[in-house]
Amino acid sequence: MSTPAPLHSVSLREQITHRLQRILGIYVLGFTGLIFLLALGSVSYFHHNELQQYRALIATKLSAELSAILREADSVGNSSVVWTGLTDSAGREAYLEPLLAKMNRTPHHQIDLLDYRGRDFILSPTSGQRPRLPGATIKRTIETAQPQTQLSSSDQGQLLLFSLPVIAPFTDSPLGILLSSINLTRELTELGLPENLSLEYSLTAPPLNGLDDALKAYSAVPIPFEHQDLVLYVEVGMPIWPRFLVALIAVALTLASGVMLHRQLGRWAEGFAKDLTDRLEALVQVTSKLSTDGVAPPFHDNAGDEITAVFDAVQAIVLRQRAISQKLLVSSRVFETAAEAILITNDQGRIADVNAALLRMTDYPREELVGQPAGLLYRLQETSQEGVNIGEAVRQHGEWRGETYFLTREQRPIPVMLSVSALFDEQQQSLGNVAIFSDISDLKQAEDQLRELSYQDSLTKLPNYRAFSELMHTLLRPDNAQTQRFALLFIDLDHLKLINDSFGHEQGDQVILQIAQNLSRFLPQPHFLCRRSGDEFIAIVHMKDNVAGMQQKLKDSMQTVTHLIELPGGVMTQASFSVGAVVYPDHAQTLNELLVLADSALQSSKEAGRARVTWLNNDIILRLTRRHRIEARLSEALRERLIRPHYQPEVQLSDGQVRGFEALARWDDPELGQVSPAEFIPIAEHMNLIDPLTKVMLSQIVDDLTPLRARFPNAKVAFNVSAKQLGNRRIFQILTHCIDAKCSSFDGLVMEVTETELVQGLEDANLQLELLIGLGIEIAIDDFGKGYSSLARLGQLPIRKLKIDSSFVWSIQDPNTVKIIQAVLALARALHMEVTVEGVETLFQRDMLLDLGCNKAQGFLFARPMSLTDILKLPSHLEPA
Amino acid sequence: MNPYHHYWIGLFCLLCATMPIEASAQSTPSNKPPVLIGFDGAYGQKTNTSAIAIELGARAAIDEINRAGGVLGGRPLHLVTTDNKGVTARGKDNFIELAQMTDLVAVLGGKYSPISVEVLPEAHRLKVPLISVWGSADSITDHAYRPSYTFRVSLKDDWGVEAMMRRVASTYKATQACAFLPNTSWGRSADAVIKSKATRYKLNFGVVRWYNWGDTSFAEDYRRCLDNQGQALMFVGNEKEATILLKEMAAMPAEKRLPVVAHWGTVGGLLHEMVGPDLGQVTFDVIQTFSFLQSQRLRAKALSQWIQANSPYKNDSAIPSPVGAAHAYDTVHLLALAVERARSTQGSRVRDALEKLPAFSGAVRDYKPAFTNKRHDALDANQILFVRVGPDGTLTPIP
Repeated sequence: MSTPAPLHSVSLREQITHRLQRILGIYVLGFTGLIFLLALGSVSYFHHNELQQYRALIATKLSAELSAILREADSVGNSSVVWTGLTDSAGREAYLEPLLAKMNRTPHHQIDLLDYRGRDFILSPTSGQRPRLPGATIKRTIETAQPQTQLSSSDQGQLLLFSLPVIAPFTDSPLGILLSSINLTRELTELGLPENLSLEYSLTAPPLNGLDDALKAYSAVPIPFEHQDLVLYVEVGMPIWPRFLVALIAVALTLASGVMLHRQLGRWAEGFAKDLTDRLEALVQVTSKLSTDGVAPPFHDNAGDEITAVFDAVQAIVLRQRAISQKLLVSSRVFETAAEAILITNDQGRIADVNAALLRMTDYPREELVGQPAGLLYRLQETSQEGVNIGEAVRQHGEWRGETYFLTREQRPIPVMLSVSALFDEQQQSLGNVAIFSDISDLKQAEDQLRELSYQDSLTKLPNYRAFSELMHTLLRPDNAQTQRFALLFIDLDHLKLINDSFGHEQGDQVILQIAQNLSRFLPQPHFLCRRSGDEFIAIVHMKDNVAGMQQKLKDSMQTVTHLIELPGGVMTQASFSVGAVVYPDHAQTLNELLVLADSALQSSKEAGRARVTWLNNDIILRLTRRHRIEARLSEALRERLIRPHYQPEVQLSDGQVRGFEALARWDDPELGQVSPAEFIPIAEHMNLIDPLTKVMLSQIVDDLTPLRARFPNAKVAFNVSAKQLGNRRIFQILTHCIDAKCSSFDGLVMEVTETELVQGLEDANLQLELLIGLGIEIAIDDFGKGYSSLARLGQLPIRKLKIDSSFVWSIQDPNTVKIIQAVLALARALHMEVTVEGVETLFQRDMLLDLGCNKAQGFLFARPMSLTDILKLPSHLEPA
Repeated sequence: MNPYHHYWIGLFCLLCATMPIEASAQSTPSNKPPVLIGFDGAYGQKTNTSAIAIELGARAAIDEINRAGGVLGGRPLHLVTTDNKGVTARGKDNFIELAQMTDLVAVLGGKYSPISVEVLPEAHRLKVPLISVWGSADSITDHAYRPSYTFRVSLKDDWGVEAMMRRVASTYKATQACAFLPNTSWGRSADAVIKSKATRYKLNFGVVRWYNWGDTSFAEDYRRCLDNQGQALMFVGNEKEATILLKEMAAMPAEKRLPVVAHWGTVGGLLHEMVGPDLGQVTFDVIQTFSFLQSQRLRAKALSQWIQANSPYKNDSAIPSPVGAAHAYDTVHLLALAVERARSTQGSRVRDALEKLPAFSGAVRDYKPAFTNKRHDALDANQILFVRVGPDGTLTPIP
């Protein structure tokens, strides 16, 4: 163990203060130094840059200006006029003087003309006021025949004096000399250079000087002139010390603020250190108290910093300690008072503790259990009801929940719901398990009763369909070799709806009950009878004989299929069954097939007039097969447009004029032959193909509309829609889809709807009809009179036409029928509707209808439905056949 | 002629200019102090041949005189030359320098009239005669100084330019003419003659162009001349300007080339070399006062022989600027006569003697006498002839 550091050898406060002051001192010195260097560097850099800029500016300006001035002087001075003048005598003043006067217009660069030896020839007005090149320089101009320059200071500024030789192409030496000067100071005036900018000019490169180089900028200004470049050296300088002064002030300010910062921070550090140490002292006291007494007085520290966080953490530890104590108290109370039995085992699987409920449940005293293997009470190593090894499951998943049994002191098993959880310490080492048991004896009992109920029909006490399913599941299991041949009967109670409607559902239930009893009694033994639903029963009759024998036996026993049944109150009613029968395994081997075939046989019984037993035969199978084939072909037929509209004319009864057509679907299938609408429309509805069918039909009708109306002007074409299509705007969507595709107009289209559909259709139908009328389609009511039309509703609907059902025509001899037709016609007139009679087949019928005031009809008397091609061949007036 | 001939001339001039005393001493046996004659010529003008021709003429005469015993009892004549390069100030300086030499009797003036005009005040101030042997400007002899110290053995514009106008009018039947004149006192002298005498020849000078030495084109003025229905051109100038004019005219279609009647400055240099083959493309008549090819005079032949013997020019037609040589030759003879008559080398006495010379038969003409106190021009219109310049520089007289 290392020896602890001597406490407070140097106080924390002193440490913080000294360290902070030292760091700050170094920082202030370093920063000031840096500022000083930066200031020095930037001043020099800026100064140098500025000088360079001025230098470039001055060089550019002087180069351009001087070159221009020299050229101008040369171009004028070296002209042929001057040449001539210098070789002319008396009279030359006449042209030479004006020329020189023109040259000397501007006072700034005037030109003197000297003769070939440098003597005055023609002088400018300002000649006497200007410094002049010394004679030696002029002589050099003559000798070298080259321009000469010289700098001269005057009170007007810095002058550049120059001489130019006048050389004519026809002589070998200068004819004369041009003298002029340029005021450099004046040339630079317009640049607006700062006043403190010093400019030194020289004609030779100035010597280099280390310090001066940094403070000044030199420029060799080329003055392009003829073939010779003159060079003027300009030295640009500017005092730098004022700038350094600014930099020094900046450094001084930095230093002063650094010192102030140092003092302020030093003061703050001292206060901060004192505060910090005081708080740490308080913290030490609290923790010491906590460690010795286990409790600490309430304390607060609101600074919100790290020390506060330590305070808060200590506070939290204290509070958590308290909470854990309280929680333990609660847990022990729960453990003791819980209704469920609780068992705690150690990692050896031995009982560590049990609660009162467990002792109550098992009749054990506590001391007999504690320390004993838990297997005494339940067998963890054993499997549960589901065959799971509970001990294994707990080891693998840490818990298990399920049903099992529990043994009392008397070794009586009690069904329990067990929940076992493994206990682990922080290192995930097992501490044992906690097991909680609930006694579910009552629940088990109730469950058994429920299971019985769920397999029984509550009314007849016969097994229900679920029981039947389970039985069939067992019987039809492929591995069930014991299953013998049996007949499956689908039994339907005839006309239960009538009984219900006539006598009420309670009486109907009575009928069902009696029938069930009768069936149980009369069906050949052994059998299994169940009630499938309302009026349907399914029976399985085991066949010991051959089929024929069985059929005979069943026929015999079902002689009494039709019974007089006495209802409460002495009312007698007749109840009969329709039965469809199939044989396993002869007809089918699966339950579904058996049921489908039996249902088909039952349908045959019903179609054959009910109250009979129909055994599955070839006809039924054929019909079923055809239905399946139709189902299989229907989609393709729609796709290939095998379903086409045929048209039956609607004529004016008085003269046979064709007034319109009813489009009827015709399916001529290459495989199935003619398929009647009565066959395929229910299938289409069943297969949800009625919308595609309508689309196919409508599309063709719209195509045919043009030739039809061309041949029969103003003829209308009616199409039928199925009952279901009035819902959800389906027919409207089909029509608008047709619009999108190609239909330009629905003018001349009539939609026929049966009155039943309208009555059931309610608001939705009404809305859809309005939408359709909006598209230009007229609405007619088909099969009028067949259903139960609400006359009130009829008046509210936007109907244009009624079609009287053909059944009325067939019974037209009946005076009542005549009255009905008259009433309908009167109603139609009142509602401004047209009326057409369907199914007119005889002249008698036609005459009767004419007498009744009926104008339009359709029927075989005039024409059958026929293809568009045939229709277009018809005359415009049809004669009765 | 050798195309490099002018280089040779340059070398010759240099020798003459730098060693005048030695050259003449060789031909003079006497040890008596020489009598000096000055000549200020435009040697520095590179294409100019007049200075060398004048010098040859002068030397030929000096040689003859010195061989015959010199002047003033055996004193040899000696030629002192200076180069004015055509610059008036230089010419003036040269004259002053020459005039101040001991025993200098006169200064010969050369091709550039303005220099002679410029010297006028100095000649009269220093009382040294100036005898122009080439300059034609009227003002060289027509001035207000009395007594006049200037003499001329040369063409005078007063009648020379008149002769040119006459040729324009008679030979080329022109009524509309143009004149290109240098912007100097020479040009002004010619202009004065044109102005005073053009009407005499029914000539109208619609376009008069004043040009400067060193101008590089006459094309614009020539076009103006054509536009002005000009039928002939009178050109006053030297060989450099004539070269420019002739080359520009030769470049034009033949029908646009007007006949040119030119002053003799044009043949005072190497015109034929500078113009080259274009020379024959233009009708170019140049006024002269003398031709070795035409003159049958004894002194003319003697002069020619001397030149051929003492220069690279080996036949009559090869001698450049013949008027310069002939005028200088005659002038030196006249001057020698005047010195003899004056019995002095003093300028004023020589001047007086010049006005009282006996008759003398020169190379150019018979002088009966050369000058009087009223007439300082030794030649007149009778000496005038016109020449054409051949491709080798031969100046062939034409009718």
